[in-house]
Amino acid sequence: MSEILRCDNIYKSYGAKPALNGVTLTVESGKIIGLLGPNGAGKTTLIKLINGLLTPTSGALTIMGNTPGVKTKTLVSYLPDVSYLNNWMTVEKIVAMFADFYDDFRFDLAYEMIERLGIDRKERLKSLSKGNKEKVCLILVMSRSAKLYVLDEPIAGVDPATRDYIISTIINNYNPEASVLISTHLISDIESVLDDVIFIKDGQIVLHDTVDQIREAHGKSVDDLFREVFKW
Amino acid sequence: MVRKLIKYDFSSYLKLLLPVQLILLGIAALNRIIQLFEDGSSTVYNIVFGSSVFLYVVSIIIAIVLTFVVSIVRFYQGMYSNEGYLSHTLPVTPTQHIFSKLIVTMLFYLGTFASIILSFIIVTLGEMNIEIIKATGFLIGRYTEYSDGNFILYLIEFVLLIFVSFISSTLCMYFCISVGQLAKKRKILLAFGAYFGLYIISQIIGTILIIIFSTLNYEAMNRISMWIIENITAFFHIVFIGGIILELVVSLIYFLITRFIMSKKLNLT
Repeated sequence: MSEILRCDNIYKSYGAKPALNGVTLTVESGKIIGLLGPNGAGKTTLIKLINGLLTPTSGALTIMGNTPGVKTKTLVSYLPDVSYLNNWMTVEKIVAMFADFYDDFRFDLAYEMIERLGIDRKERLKSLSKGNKEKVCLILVMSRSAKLYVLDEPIAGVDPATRDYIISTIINNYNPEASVLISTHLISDIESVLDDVIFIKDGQIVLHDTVDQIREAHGKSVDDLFREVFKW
Repeated sequence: MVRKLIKYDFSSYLKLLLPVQLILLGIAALNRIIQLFEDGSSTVYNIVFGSSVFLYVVSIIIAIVLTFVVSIVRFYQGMYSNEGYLSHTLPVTPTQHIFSKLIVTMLFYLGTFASIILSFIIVTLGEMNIEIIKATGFLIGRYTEYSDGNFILYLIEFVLLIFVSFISSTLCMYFCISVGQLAKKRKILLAFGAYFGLYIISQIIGTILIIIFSTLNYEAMNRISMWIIENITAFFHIVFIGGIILELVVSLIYFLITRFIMSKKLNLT
Protein backbone atom coordinates (compact mmCIF):
# COMPACT_ATOMS: atom_id res chain seq x y z
CA MET A 1 0.00 0.00 0.00
CA SER A 2 1.36 3.41 -0.92
CA GLU A 3 0.51 6.78 0.49
CA ILE A 4 -1.97 8.72 -1.66
CA LEU A 5 -2.88 11.70 0.49
CA ARG A 6 -1.04 13.38 3.34
CA CYS A 7 -2.24 16.31 5.41
CA ASP A 8 0.18 17.80 7.95
CA ASN A 9 -1.32 20.05 10.58
CA ILE A 10 -3.64 21.92 8.23
CA TYR A 11 -5.37 25.08 9.33
CA LYS A 12 -7.88 26.87 7.20
CA SER A 13 -9.85 29.85 8.36
CA TYR A 14 -12.45 32.05 6.70
CA GLY A 15 -11.77 35.38 8.34
CA ALA A 16 -11.55 34.82 12.08
CA LYS A 17 -13.49 31.54 12.04
CA PRO A 18 -11.37 28.38 11.67
CA ALA A 19 -12.89 25.79 9.34
CA LEU A 20 -10.05 23.30 9.79
CA ASN A 21 -8.08 23.34 12.98
CA GLY A 22 -4.90 21.29 12.74
CA VAL A 23 -5.91 18.37 10.52
CA THR A 24 -3.29 15.64 10.20
CA LEU A 25 -4.09 12.48 8.29
CA THR A 26 -2.75 9.98 5.81
CA VAL A 27 -4.76 8.06 3.23
CA GLU A 28 -3.28 4.94 1.69
CA SER A 29 -4.12 3.25 -1.59
CA GLY A 30 -6.73 0.53 -2.03
CA LYS A 31 -9.27 1.84 0.44
CA ILE A 32 -12.75 3.29 0.49
CA ILE A 33 -12.83 5.87 3.25
CA GLY A 34 -15.84 7.62 4.68
CA LEU A 35 -15.30 11.24 5.67
CA LEU A 36 -18.07 11.66 8.18
CA GLY A 37 -19.22 14.63 10.14
CA PRO A 38 -22.19 16.93 10.67
CA ASN A 39 -22.85 19.97 8.51
CA GLY A 40 -20.22 22.64 9.02
CA ALA A 41 -17.65 20.20 10.44
CA GLY A 42 -15.10 21.00 7.71
CA LYS A 43 -15.64 18.10 5.27
CA THR A 44 -16.14 20.26 2.19
CA THR A 45 -13.29 22.58 3.18
CA LEU A 46 -10.91 19.61 3.40
CA ILE A 47 -12.16 18.31 0.05
CA LYS A 48 -11.72 21.72 -1.58
CA LEU A 49 -8.15 21.86 -0.25
CA ILE A 50 -7.42 18.42 -1.74
CA ASN A 51 -8.71 19.68 -5.10
CA GLY A 52 -6.80 22.94 -5.04
CA LEU A 53 -10.00 25.01 -4.85
CA LEU A 54 -8.75 26.51 -1.59
CA THR A 55 -5.26 27.02 -0.21
CA PRO A 56 -4.50 26.20 3.44
CA THR A 57 -3.87 29.06 5.85
CA SER A 58 -1.01 26.94 7.22
CA GLY A 59 0.17 23.35 7.07
CA ALA A 60 1.00 21.14 4.11
CA LEU A 61 -1.12 18.91 1.92
CA THR A 62 0.29 16.56 -0.72
CA ILE A 63 -1.18 14.03 -3.14
CA MET A 64 1.36 11.36 -4.02
CA GLY A 65 4.04 13.82 -2.97
CA ASN A 66 2.70 16.74 -5.03
CA THR A 67 1.17 19.92 -3.66
CA PRO A 68 -2.21 20.71 -5.28
CA GLY A 69 -1.75 21.99 -8.82
CA VAL A 70 -1.96 20.83 -12.42
CA LYS A 71 -0.19 17.53 -11.62
CA THR A 72 -2.54 16.59 -8.76
CA LYS A 73 -5.57 17.38 -10.91
CA THR A 74 -4.49 14.53 -13.17
CA LEU A 75 -4.41 12.23 -10.11
CA VAL A 76 -7.63 13.24 -8.36
CA SER A 77 -11.13 12.65 -9.72
CA TYR A 78 -13.58 14.93 -7.95
CA LEU A 79 -17.35 14.96 -7.62
CA PRO A 80 -18.48 18.22 -5.98
CA ASP A 81 -21.67 18.55 -3.97
CA VAL A 82 -23.11 21.04 -6.45
CA SER A 83 -24.42 20.75 -10.00
CA TYR A 84 -21.24 21.83 -11.78
CA LEU A 85 -21.70 20.86 -15.40
CA ASN A 86 -22.70 23.30 -18.11
CA ASN A 87 -26.39 22.52 -18.57
CA TRP A 88 -26.62 23.37 -22.28
CA MET A 89 -24.07 20.68 -23.14
CA THR A 90 -25.22 17.28 -24.39
CA VAL A 91 -24.15 14.08 -22.62
CA GLU A 92 -21.96 13.31 -25.64
CA LYS A 93 -20.24 16.71 -25.50
CA ILE A 94 -19.48 16.53 -21.79
CA VAL A 95 -18.06 13.00 -22.16
CA ALA A 96 -15.88 14.26 -25.03
CA MET A 97 -14.76 17.16 -22.87
CA PHE A 98 -13.67 14.88 -20.03
CA ALA A 99 -11.85 12.64 -22.52
CA ASP A 100 -10.14 15.71 -23.99
CA PHE A 101 -8.80 17.00 -20.71
CA TYR A 102 -8.15 13.84 -18.70
CA ASP A 103 -5.73 11.36 -20.25
CA ASP A 104 -6.94 8.66 -17.84
CA PHE A 105 -10.57 8.92 -18.98
CA ARG A 106 -12.08 5.61 -20.18
CA PHE A 107 -14.47 6.44 -23.00
CA ASP A 108 -15.78 2.90 -23.41
CA LEU A 109 -16.53 2.52 -19.72
CA ALA A 110 -18.39 5.85 -19.61
CA TYR A 111 -20.60 4.96 -22.58
CA GLU A 112 -21.19 1.46 -21.31
CA MET A 113 -22.59 2.89 -18.06
CA ILE A 114 -24.55 5.64 -19.81
CA GLU A 115 -26.15 3.15 -22.19
CA ARG A 116 -26.99 0.77 -19.35
CA LEU A 117 -28.96 3.64 -17.80
CA GLY A 118 -30.82 4.20 -21.06
CA ILE A 119 -29.70 7.82 -21.30
CA ASP A 120 -29.63 9.26 -24.80
CA ARG A 121 -26.14 10.60 -25.49
CA LYS A 122 -27.60 13.39 -27.63
CA GLU A 123 -29.73 14.65 -24.75
CA ARG A 124 -28.85 17.96 -23.12
CA LEU A 125 -27.99 17.87 -19.42
CA LYS A 126 -30.72 20.38 -18.63
CA SER A 127 -33.38 17.97 -19.88
CA LEU A 128 -32.20 15.10 -17.67
CA SER A 129 -33.94 14.38 -14.38
CA LYS A 130 -32.03 15.31 -11.19
CA GLY A 131 -31.26 11.64 -10.49
CA ASN A 132 -29.99 10.98 -14.02
CA LYS A 133 -27.90 14.13 -13.97
CA GLU A 134 -26.26 13.01 -10.74
CA LYS A 135 -25.65 9.59 -12.25
CA VAL A 136 -23.99 11.16 -15.31
CA CYS A 137 -21.76 13.25 -13.03
CA LEU A 138 -20.75 10.15 -11.09
CA ILE A 139 -20.14 8.17 -14.30
CA LEU A 140 -17.82 10.91 -15.55
CA VAL A 141 -15.88 10.92 -12.29
CA MET A 142 -15.67 7.15 -11.95
CA SER A 143 -14.71 6.64 -15.61
CA ARG A 144 -11.28 8.03 -14.89
CA SER A 145 -8.39 5.80 -13.81
CA ALA A 146 -7.49 8.23 -11.06
CA LYS A 147 -5.40 7.61 -7.95
CA LEU A 148 -7.81 9.31 -5.60
CA TYR A 149 -11.55 9.70 -6.05
CA VAL A 150 -13.06 12.42 -3.91
CA LEU A 151 -16.84 12.32 -3.75
CA ASP A 152 -18.56 15.10 -1.83
CA GLU A 153 -22.04 14.02 -0.68
CA PRO A 154 -22.63 11.73 -3.68
CA ILE A 155 -25.82 10.21 -2.28
CA ALA A 156 -27.47 13.23 -0.72
CA GLY A 157 -30.79 14.29 -2.17
CA VAL A 158 -31.39 11.26 -4.42
CA ASP A 159 -33.93 8.43 -4.12
CA PRO A 160 -32.91 5.07 -2.57
CA ALA A 161 -32.71 3.34 -5.97
CA THR A 162 -30.33 5.99 -7.31
CA ARG A 163 -28.40 5.74 -4.05
CA ASP A 164 -27.89 2.02 -4.65
CA TYR A 165 -26.84 2.66 -8.22
CA ILE A 166 -24.29 5.26 -7.11
CA ILE A 167 -22.83 2.99 -4.43
CA SER A 168 -22.54 0.01 -6.78
CA THR A 169 -20.93 2.24 -9.44
CA ILE A 170 -18.33 3.37 -6.92
CA ILE A 171 -17.51 -0.18 -5.83
CA ASN A 172 -17.44 -1.64 -9.34
CA ASN A 173 -15.38 1.05 -11.00
CA TYR A 174 -12.66 2.19 -8.69
CA ASN A 175 -9.20 1.05 -9.38
CA PRO A 176 -7.92 -1.22 -6.55
CA GLU A 177 -4.65 0.73 -6.46
CA ALA A 178 -6.56 3.93 -5.90
CA SER A 179 -8.53 5.20 -2.93
CA VAL A 180 -11.99 6.64 -2.65
CA LEU A 181 -12.79 9.36 -0.14
CA ILE A 182 -16.54 9.75 0.33
CA SER A 183 -17.98 12.58 2.34
CA THR A 184 -21.48 11.96 3.65
CA HIS A 185 -23.75 12.12 6.62
CA LEU A 186 -25.92 9.24 5.33
CA ILE A 187 -23.73 6.64 7.00
CA SER A 188 -26.03 3.65 7.15
CA ASP A 189 -26.38 3.63 3.35
CA ILE A 190 -22.68 3.50 2.78
CA GLU A 191 -21.27 1.78 5.86
CA SER A 192 -21.13 -1.66 4.27
CA VAL A 193 -18.71 -0.54 1.55
CA LEU A 194 -16.32 1.45 3.73
CA ASP A 195 -12.89 0.18 4.76
CA ASP A 196 -11.96 3.16 6.95
CA VAL A 197 -13.80 6.06 8.47
CA ILE A 198 -12.69 9.53 9.47
CA PHE A 199 -14.86 11.46 11.91
CA ILE A 200 -14.45 15.20 11.61
CA LYS A 201 -15.87 17.63 14.15
CA ASP A 202 -15.33 21.38 14.47
CA GLY A 203 -12.50 21.24 11.96
CA GLN A 204 -10.61 18.49 13.77
CA ILE A 205 -10.22 14.77 13.14
CA VAL A 206 -11.72 13.03 16.16
CA LEU A 207 -11.43 9.47 14.89
CA HIS A 208 -9.61 7.70 12.05
CA ASP A 209 -9.88 3.93 12.09
CA THR A 210 -10.94 0.88 10.11
CA VAL A 211 -14.61 -0.08 10.17
CA ASP A 212 -13.73 -3.53 11.55
CA GLN A 213 -11.68 -2.00 14.36
CA ILE A 214 -14.52 0.35 15.28
CA ARG A 215 -17.03 -2.48 15.43
CA GLU A 216 -14.64 -4.57 17.52
CA ALA A 217 -13.52 -1.84 19.89
CA HIS A 218 -16.89 -0.12 20.40
CA GLY A 219 -19.23 -3.05 19.83
CA LYS A 220 -21.45 -0.97 17.59
CA SER A 221 -21.89 0.05 13.97
CA VAL A 222 -20.25 3.16 12.53
CA ASP A 223 -23.69 4.73 12.23
CA ASP A 224 -24.39 4.17 15.95
CA LEU A 225 -20.96 5.45 16.95
CA PHE A 226 -21.47 8.53 14.77
CA ARG A 227 -24.77 9.29 16.52
CA GLU A 228 -23.01 8.94 19.87
CA VAL A 229 -20.00 11.14 18.97
CA PHE A 230 -22.07 13.83 17.32
CA LYS A 231 -24.95 13.84 19.82
CA TRP A 232 -26.30 17.34 20.48
CA MET B 1 -4.32 22.68 -23.27
CA VAL B 2 -5.11 26.29 -24.26
CA ARG B 3 -6.31 24.98 -27.63
CA LYS B 4 -8.67 22.56 -25.91
CA LEU B 5 -9.98 25.31 -23.64
CA ILE B 6 -10.46 27.61 -26.63
CA LYS B 7 -12.44 24.88 -28.39
CA TYR B 8 -14.98 24.64 -25.56
CA ASP B 9 -15.03 28.36 -24.78
CA PHE B 10 -15.55 29.14 -28.46
CA SER B 11 -18.55 26.85 -28.76
CA SER B 12 -20.15 28.31 -25.61
CA TYR B 13 -19.71 31.88 -26.95
CA LEU B 14 -20.85 30.88 -30.44
CA LYS B 15 -24.08 29.45 -29.11
CA LEU B 16 -24.91 32.85 -27.59
CA LEU B 17 -23.48 35.22 -30.19
CA LEU B 18 -24.11 33.56 -33.56
CA PRO B 19 -27.88 34.31 -33.46
CA VAL B 20 -27.13 37.98 -32.70
CA GLN B 21 -24.83 38.30 -35.70
CA LEU B 22 -27.25 36.45 -37.96
CA ILE B 23 -30.05 38.81 -36.87
CA LEU B 24 -27.81 41.80 -37.67
CA LEU B 25 -27.16 40.46 -41.17
CA GLY B 26 -30.86 39.64 -41.59
CA ILE B 27 -31.88 43.20 -40.67
CA ALA B 28 -29.27 44.57 -43.10
CA ALA B 29 -30.73 42.38 -45.86
CA LEU B 30 -34.25 43.55 -44.97
CA ASN B 31 -33.09 47.15 -45.19
CA ARG B 32 -31.60 46.51 -48.65
CA ILE B 33 -34.81 44.83 -49.84
CA ILE B 34 -36.89 47.81 -48.63
CA GLN B 35 -34.62 50.11 -50.66
CA LEU B 36 -35.74 48.26 -53.82
CA PHE B 37 -39.24 49.71 -53.32
CA GLU B 38 -38.03 53.31 -53.26
CA ASP B 39 -40.52 55.45 -55.20
CA GLY B 40 -39.40 59.00 -54.64
CA SER B 41 -41.45 60.80 -52.05
CA SER B 42 -43.90 58.23 -50.65
CA THR B 43 -44.54 58.80 -46.93
CA VAL B 44 -45.16 55.10 -46.33
CA TYR B 45 -41.82 54.23 -47.90
CA ASN B 46 -40.03 56.90 -45.85
CA ILE B 47 -41.54 55.59 -42.60
CA VAL B 48 -40.73 51.95 -43.42
CA PHE B 49 -37.22 52.79 -44.62
CA GLY B 50 -36.57 55.08 -41.60
CA SER B 51 -37.70 52.32 -39.24
CA SER B 52 -35.48 49.75 -40.91
CA VAL B 53 -32.46 52.08 -40.65
CA PHE B 54 -33.26 52.64 -36.98
CA LEU B 55 -33.56 48.88 -36.46
CA TYR B 56 -30.26 48.35 -38.26
CA VAL B 57 -28.42 50.89 -36.09
CA VAL B 58 -29.93 49.40 -32.93
CA SER B 59 -28.92 45.88 -34.02
CA ILE B 60 -25.31 47.06 -34.51
CA ILE B 61 -25.28 48.52 -30.99
CA ILE B 62 -26.84 45.35 -29.56
CA ALA B 63 -24.28 43.15 -31.38
CA ILE B 64 -21.37 45.12 -29.84
CA VAL B 65 -22.91 45.32 -26.35
CA LEU B 66 -23.82 41.63 -26.30
CA THR B 67 -20.29 40.60 -27.32
CA PHE B 68 -19.04 42.56 -24.31
CA VAL B 69 -21.73 41.17 -21.99
CA VAL B 70 -21.24 37.55 -23.10
CA SER B 71 -17.49 37.91 -22.52
CA ILE B 72 -18.10 39.04 -18.92
CA VAL B 73 -20.87 36.55 -18.16
CA ARG B 74 -18.97 33.56 -19.54
CA PHE B 75 -15.90 34.49 -17.52
CA TYR B 76 -17.96 34.79 -14.34
CA GLN B 77 -19.89 31.58 -14.96
CA GLY B 78 -16.87 29.55 -16.04
CA MET B 79 -14.56 30.67 -13.28
CA TYR B 80 -16.62 31.63 -10.25
CA SER B 81 -20.07 30.03 -10.44
CA ASN B 82 -20.71 26.28 -9.97
CA GLU B 83 -19.03 25.66 -13.33
CA GLY B 84 -15.84 26.81 -11.60
CA TYR B 85 -15.74 23.46 -9.77
CA LEU B 86 -15.05 21.81 -13.11
CA SER B 87 -12.90 24.58 -14.63
CA HIS B 88 -10.56 24.73 -11.64
CA THR B 89 -10.18 20.96 -11.36
CA LEU B 90 -9.21 20.49 -15.00
CA PRO B 91 -5.45 20.01 -15.34
CA VAL B 92 -4.87 23.55 -16.61
CA THR B 93 -3.38 26.66 -15.02
CA PRO B 94 -5.24 29.92 -14.28
CA THR B 95 -3.02 31.58 -16.91
CA GLN B 96 -4.33 29.15 -19.54
CA HIS B 97 -7.92 29.84 -18.48
CA ILE B 98 -7.44 33.62 -18.74
CA PHE B 99 -5.71 33.37 -22.12
CA SER B 100 -8.37 31.07 -23.53
CA LYS B 101 -11.23 33.36 -22.49
CA LEU B 102 -9.35 36.46 -23.67
CA ILE B 103 -8.48 34.97 -27.08
CA VAL B 104 -12.07 33.81 -27.64
CA THR B 105 -13.39 37.24 -26.61
CA MET B 106 -11.05 38.97 -29.06
CA LEU B 107 -12.06 36.53 -31.83
CA PHE B 108 -15.72 37.40 -31.21
CA TYR B 109 -14.98 41.13 -31.22
CA LEU B 110 -13.32 40.59 -34.62
CA GLY B 111 -16.31 38.48 -35.69
CA THR B 112 -18.74 41.23 -34.62
CA PHE B 113 -16.64 43.81 -36.46
CA ALA B 114 -16.63 41.61 -39.60
CA SER B 115 -20.43 41.17 -39.31
CA ILE B 116 -20.90 44.94 -39.08
CA ILE B 117 -18.73 45.51 -42.17
CA LEU B 118 -20.57 42.73 -44.01
CA SER B 119 -23.94 44.17 -42.96
CA PHE B 120 -22.84 47.59 -44.25
CA ILE B 121 -21.87 46.00 -47.58
CA ILE B 122 -25.32 44.37 -47.71
CA VAL B 123 -27.11 47.65 -46.91
CA THR B 124 -25.19 49.50 -49.64
CA LEU B 125 -25.19 46.59 -52.11
CA GLY B 126 -25.11 47.69 -55.74
CA GLU B 127 -23.74 50.88 -57.24
CA MET B 128 -23.28 52.48 -53.85
CA ASN B 129 -20.73 49.77 -52.93
CA ILE B 130 -18.56 50.70 -55.88
CA GLU B 131 -18.83 54.40 -55.00
CA ILE B 132 -17.82 53.75 -51.38
CA ILE B 133 -14.83 51.63 -52.44
CA LYS B 134 -13.79 54.33 -54.90
CA ALA B 135 -14.14 57.07 -52.27
CA THR B 136 -12.20 55.06 -49.67
CA GLY B 137 -9.41 54.35 -52.17
CA PHE B 138 -9.30 58.04 -53.09
CA LEU B 139 -9.12 59.16 -49.44
CA ILE B 140 -6.39 56.65 -48.58
CA GLY B 141 -4.40 57.80 -51.63
CA ARG B 142 -4.74 61.47 -50.65
CA TYR B 143 -3.79 60.90 -47.01
CA THR B 144 -0.82 58.70 -47.97
CA GLU B 145 0.37 61.40 -50.33
CA TYR B 146 0.06 64.25 -47.80
CA SER B 147 1.39 62.37 -44.80
CA ASP B 148 4.58 61.32 -46.55
CA GLY B 149 3.92 57.58 -46.07
CA ASN B 150 3.08 58.06 -42.38
CA PHE B 151 -0.61 57.44 -42.97
CA ILE B 152 -0.19 53.67 -43.25
CA LEU B 153 1.93 53.70 -40.07
CA TYR B 154 -0.71 55.80 -38.26
CA LEU B 155 -3.38 53.40 -39.42
CA ILE B 156 -1.44 50.36 -38.14
CA GLU B 157 -0.72 52.10 -34.82
CA PHE B 158 -4.35 53.19 -34.48
CA VAL B 159 -5.70 49.69 -35.19
CA LEU B 160 -3.18 48.22 -32.72
CA LEU B 161 -4.20 50.78 -30.11
CA ILE B 162 -7.87 49.86 -30.53
CA PHE B 163 -7.01 46.14 -30.35
CA VAL B 164 -4.90 46.56 -27.20
CA SER B 165 -7.64 48.76 -25.65
CA PHE B 166 -10.14 45.93 -26.15
CA ILE B 167 -7.69 43.50 -24.49
CA SER B 168 -7.17 45.89 -21.60
CA SER B 169 -10.90 46.56 -21.10
CA THR B 170 -11.63 42.80 -21.17
CA LEU B 171 -8.88 42.11 -18.61
CA CYS B 172 -10.21 45.02 -16.54
CA MET B 173 -13.59 43.25 -16.39
CA TYR B 174 -11.90 39.96 -15.43
CA PHE B 175 -10.06 41.82 -12.69
CA CYS B 176 -13.26 43.43 -11.33
CA ILE B 177 -15.17 40.12 -11.39
CA SER B 178 -12.26 38.38 -9.63
CA VAL B 179 -12.15 41.05 -6.92
CA GLY B 180 -15.94 40.79 -6.60
CA GLN B 181 -15.85 37.02 -5.97
CA LEU B 182 -13.66 37.61 -2.89
CA ALA B 183 -16.79 38.77 -1.05
CA LYS B 184 -18.87 36.29 0.92
CA LYS B 185 -22.10 37.83 -0.33
CA ARG B 186 -23.02 40.42 -2.95
CA LYS B 187 -20.13 39.44 -5.23
CA ILE B 188 -21.54 41.30 -8.24
CA LEU B 189 -21.96 44.47 -6.17
CA LEU B 190 -18.29 44.31 -5.14
CA ALA B 191 -17.31 43.76 -8.79
CA PHE B 192 -19.13 47.01 -9.68
CA GLY B 193 -17.42 48.63 -6.67
CA ALA B 194 -14.03 47.53 -8.01
CA TYR B 195 -14.88 49.00 -11.41
CA PHE B 196 -15.87 52.37 -9.95
CA GLY B 197 -12.81 52.26 -7.68
CA LEU B 198 -10.61 51.89 -10.79
CA TYR B 199 -12.50 54.75 -12.46
CA ILE B 200 -11.87 57.03 -9.46
CA ILE B 201 -8.17 56.06 -9.37
CA SER B 202 -7.79 56.85 -13.09
CA GLN B 203 -9.53 60.21 -12.55
CA ILE B 204 -7.18 61.04 -9.67
CA ILE B 205 -4.10 60.15 -11.76
CA GLY B 206 -5.45 62.28 -14.64
CA THR B 207 -6.05 65.25 -12.32
CA ILE B 208 -2.55 64.95 -10.84
CA LEU B 209 -1.03 64.95 -14.34
CA ILE B 210 -3.06 68.05 -15.28
CA ILE B 211 -1.91 69.81 -12.08
CA ILE B 212 1.73 68.92 -12.80
CA PHE B 213 1.35 70.18 -16.36
CA SER B 214 -0.32 73.42 -15.27
CA THR B 215 2.49 74.20 -12.82
CA LEU B 216 4.98 74.34 -15.69
CA ASN B 217 6.00 77.88 -16.45
CA TYR B 218 4.93 79.69 -19.58
CA GLU B 219 8.28 79.25 -21.26
CA ALA B 220 8.32 75.47 -20.79
CA MET B 221 4.75 75.17 -22.10
CA ASN B 222 5.70 77.29 -25.07
CA ARG B 223 8.74 75.12 -25.79
CA ILE B 224 6.59 71.96 -25.69
CA SER B 225 3.98 73.51 -27.99
CA MET B 226 6.66 74.60 -30.42
CA TRP B 227 8.19 71.14 -30.43
CA ILE B 228 4.79 69.60 -31.16
CA ILE B 229 4.15 71.99 -34.05
CA GLU B 230 7.59 71.37 -35.52
CA ASN B 231 7.42 67.60 -35.05
CA ILE B 232 3.74 66.92 -35.55
CA THR B 233 4.41 63.58 -37.32
CA ALA B 234 6.58 62.30 -34.48
CA PHE B 235 4.11 63.65 -31.92
CA PHE B 236 1.26 61.51 -33.29
CA HIS B 237 3.52 58.44 -33.35
CA ILE B 238 4.41 59.12 -29.69
CA VAL B 239 0.72 59.45 -28.77
CA PHE B 240 -0.26 56.19 -30.49
CA ILE B 241 2.75 54.13 -29.39
CA GLY B 242 2.62 55.61 -25.87
CA GLY B 243 -1.06 54.66 -25.72
CA ILE B 244 -0.30 51.10 -26.82
CA ILE B 245 2.46 50.71 -24.19
CA LEU B 246 0.26 52.18 -21.46
CA GLU B 247 -2.62 49.82 -22.31
CA LEU B 248 -0.22 46.86 -22.33
CA VAL B 249 1.20 47.77 -18.91
CA VAL B 250 -2.30 48.19 -17.44
CA SER B 251 -3.35 44.87 -19.03
CA LEU B 252 -0.38 43.11 -17.44
CA ILE B 253 -1.33 44.46 -13.99
CA TYR B 254 -4.96 43.29 -14.40
CA PHE B 255 -3.77 39.90 -15.62
CA LEU B 256 -1.33 39.34 -12.74
CA ILE B 257 -3.89 40.26 -10.06
CA THR B 258 -6.61 38.11 -11.70
CA ARG B 259 -4.20 35.17 -11.91
CA PHE B 260 -3.23 35.60 -8.25
CA ILE B 261 -6.88 35.60 -7.15
CA MET B 262 -7.65 32.53 -9.26
CA SER B 263 -4.62 30.66 -7.90
CA LYS B 264 -4.70 31.63 -4.23
CA LYS B 265 -8.00 33.28 -3.36
CA LEU B 266 -10.71 31.20 -4.99
CA ASN B 267 -13.96 31.53 -3.13
CA LEU B 268 -16.43 29.17 -4.79
CA THR B 269 -19.63 28.86 -2.82
